[in-house]
Amino acid sequence: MVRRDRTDMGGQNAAFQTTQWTQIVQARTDSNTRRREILGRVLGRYWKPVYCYLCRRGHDPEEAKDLTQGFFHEIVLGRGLVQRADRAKGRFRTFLLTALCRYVTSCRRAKGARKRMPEGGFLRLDGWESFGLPEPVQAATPEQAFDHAWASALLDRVLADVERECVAAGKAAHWAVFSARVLGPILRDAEPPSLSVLCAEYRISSESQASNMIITAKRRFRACLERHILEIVGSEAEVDAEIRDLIEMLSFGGARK
Amino acid sequence: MEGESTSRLNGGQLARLLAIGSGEARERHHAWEPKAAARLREMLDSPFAATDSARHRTGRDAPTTLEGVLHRRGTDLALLKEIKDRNKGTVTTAASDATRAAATAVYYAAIAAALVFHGEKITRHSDARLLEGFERLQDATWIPSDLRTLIAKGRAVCAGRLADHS
Repeated sequence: MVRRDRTDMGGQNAAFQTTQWTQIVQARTDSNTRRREILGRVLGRYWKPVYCYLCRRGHDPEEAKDLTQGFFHEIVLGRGLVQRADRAKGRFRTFLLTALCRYVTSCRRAKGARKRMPEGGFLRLDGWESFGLPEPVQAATPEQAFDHAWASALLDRVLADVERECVAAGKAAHWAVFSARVLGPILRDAEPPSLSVLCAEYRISSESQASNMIITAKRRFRACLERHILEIVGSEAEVDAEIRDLIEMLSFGGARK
Repeated sequence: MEGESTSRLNGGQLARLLAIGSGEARERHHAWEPKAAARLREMLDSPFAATDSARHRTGRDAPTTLEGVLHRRGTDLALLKEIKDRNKGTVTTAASDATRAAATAVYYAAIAAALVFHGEKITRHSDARLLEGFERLQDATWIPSDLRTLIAKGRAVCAGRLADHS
């Protein structure tokens, strides 16, 4: 459930969508078990961009994992990073990355990331052990690797949700046609099949119906993408800007603003 | 898509995925488009009955649907004008956005056919205004691709006329 709250976050802040971030703030006063549960959930969502950044900063995979867990445990949860975010000063992604840079510097000064390991050892994460730095960012700057992983993780969640929602709504065929005509060509860098081919393959009565099915799925994709981004940026007005910002950075591998 | 992560994609591909969402903001404001597409299909597939004042040549290969008439090079200019006028009336009196949009597409398609097949302008719209209308429709995905192609060709002719007169 998404709620709108007026939350003073240390600066000139407008209403902030308080879903998972409220949980993070509230978890600071909860039991250790609850904190680990919240941390695990947050880590599950945002560890990849942090990890990729650290790998490109020159840390080996094990060290990068230690630092990733330590960052979320000590800084995001432990020091209330979200509470201290001042959105008037830029995007949360940038704020997170800045905090990460400072954390890495402080760890280096303390001479060893292993001292920062959270109590109770590593938190288990799906895909943690098998995840490696993706090929497209193996020669990227640390910031580019962060942005790439941020966008990729976001899109993975969105696509999974959209597929699940389409199936649950009895629109599995909509998802299939959308995947074939829109997603597949992007994922495989290939030409899209024609509407007539799709009609034959999926037994759709007309091209206009196929087109309408694709539009329906695209609208669901849009709504889901906005919902996910809204959880991070804090206001609807910032959603479009965040998408545009990500597209620009990913398209041109551009410098951070 | 199941189990297929986007992490292996390059930045350009990720940007294209994000752009799917961006583009749809505009489509969401035109909820009538799927209905307009369906209505247009009905109109194009419907048997075409010319009035007494503008009969197309009969023959074994004469088209019998509106779509066939619009795409046929041999369709009389007078008949294209009749189609244009008929749909102009529909645009004015239509009760729904879908019907209005579909009639607008046929209206411009008739004008485009006259330009493309006969080199004649059958409307009092200025070339500039006509160009705007063509440009708005030639990329409208709710319009069938071959009709969009006809409209695009009409646009090209119109643009040429503007260039000649400037």
